[in-house]
Amino acid sequence: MGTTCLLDTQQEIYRSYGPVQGSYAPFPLQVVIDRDGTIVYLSAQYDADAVNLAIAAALEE
Amino acid sequence: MSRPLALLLLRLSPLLSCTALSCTTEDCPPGTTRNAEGECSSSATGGGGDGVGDGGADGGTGPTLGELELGDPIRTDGSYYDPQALFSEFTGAVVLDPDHALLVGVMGYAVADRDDGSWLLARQGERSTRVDAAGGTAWVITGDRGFYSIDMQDPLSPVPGPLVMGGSGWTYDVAATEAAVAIAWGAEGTWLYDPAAVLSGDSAPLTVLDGDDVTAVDIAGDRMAVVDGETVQLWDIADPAAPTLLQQAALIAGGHDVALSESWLAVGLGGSGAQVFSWSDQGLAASGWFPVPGAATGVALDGEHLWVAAWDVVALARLTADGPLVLGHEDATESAFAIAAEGGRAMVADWFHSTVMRRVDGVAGPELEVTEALYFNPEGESTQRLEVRNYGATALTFTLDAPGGGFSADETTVQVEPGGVQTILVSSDGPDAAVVVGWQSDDPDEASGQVDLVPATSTVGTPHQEFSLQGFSWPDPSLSTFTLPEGEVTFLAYFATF
Repeated sequence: MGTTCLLDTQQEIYRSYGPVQGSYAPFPLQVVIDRDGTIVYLSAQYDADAVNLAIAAALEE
Repeated sequence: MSRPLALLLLRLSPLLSCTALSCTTEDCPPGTTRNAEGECSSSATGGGGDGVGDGGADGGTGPTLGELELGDPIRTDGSYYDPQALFSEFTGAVVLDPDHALLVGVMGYAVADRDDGSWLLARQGERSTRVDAAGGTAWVITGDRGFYSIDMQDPLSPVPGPLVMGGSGWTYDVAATEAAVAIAWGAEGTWLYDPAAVLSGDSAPLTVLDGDDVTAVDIAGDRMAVVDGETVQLWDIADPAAPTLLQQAALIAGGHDVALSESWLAVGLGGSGAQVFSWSDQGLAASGWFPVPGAATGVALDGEHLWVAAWDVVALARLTADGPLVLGHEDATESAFAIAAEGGRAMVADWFHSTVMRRVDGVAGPELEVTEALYFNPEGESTQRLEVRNYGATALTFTLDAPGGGFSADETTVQVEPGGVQTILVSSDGPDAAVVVGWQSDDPDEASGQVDLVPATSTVGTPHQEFSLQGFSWPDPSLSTFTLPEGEVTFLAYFATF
């Protein structure tokens, strides 16, 4: 596993997403991308269980 | 305001993913069982009974509903916001007396009417993150600039005192009685002060208790609860200068706030819900755990009831010998970060709002949480999961209208047990336009609503755009250019500095 900290200073990636369900605050914003590069999870709520399920499902594919 | 953005990029392997993300373990937390969907759900929400007043007749081990009738157990009495005030962003609250509450925020504080939340005065000042009060004095922490007091003998004429610098790191929580003030000072432990001495200008602590990651503290009488990482401790502070550790217990996740009363101890666990203990001279006894949507960042005990501020909702649970019974939720006006409660009324530090909620006794019901929008690939067939959760005390019935407009659903009516989740699969072969679909439920305060079925732009089901960004990869601090990795599962977590 690698952990990288990136700087999205112009917010070009942050602003590229469509409406985020359940969004009531600008952060956190969490994205899970599968091996094909497809977004499989996008949420503006902190939900560790949901993130874990999405990651586990992507890893099993 | 400049908001430089940063994001964490994690490339994951199956072996390490859960450990790296502190995800759930194979075993469910205390008071829960793993349901058919493989998720941990509370076994302390009515014992699996299927209706109000069944008393857990099916032999479940959770608390009984007793004589509760179907209804909404929380009512919002008022929510106040001043568009001219730039300082609020409330993250702390305390009840001063039956009529007044004090809320603290990023650039000051406000005194609010406990009946409707309206502000009786507001003062711009230090960044203020958490607050407690005792003996007519409020004690406020600032994050990185120590703490200060406010003379609140007359709530409408507050007199702030000077800053007191103790540790050099971040302060996370404060608790106060007339005999002691305790500060949760992160890696620098728990600092205990004599309030009278501080008010007279002596800012030396009585003692400092070691800790690795002290994030929350509360005091009831001569007992003090301290959250240190994933451990909660119960201390005897009859002599605040020489506290005695009575007992400690493991938490299922790191704690964000703790509340202590004469018989209960409750910890807000962020995204992992809330964990409850009973305590006596014999020590701590695990009572149960329950999940909340959002993140449990604030907890308040009010007699036999526990209020939980969880960003998008406020949850109310009744504490029983058999475990916590979640009575219901109420939507926050904005984001519920902290909560103070007394006499059945709660003041919510609701970001820019001060929100008053009232407990309605004798009622409970199902508590619906449902996906608000689903996004579909406009280029081809895709299926999305409409998740219907029930956080309440009784079984939930949820009915989705027939979608139409090129969308279909595998079923339209689901029954969801307390603490459970059901999924409706919604499909489309490439939508041209969004469709709004209505739903109905027997949740007393969410009888109907809608879900948006939307052709996606850059969201779930569509490719993530490629990027090239500057950053660094731990432990190498030098800046490099990074792109979206190919053939790997990637987790992006956005955050910002202000």
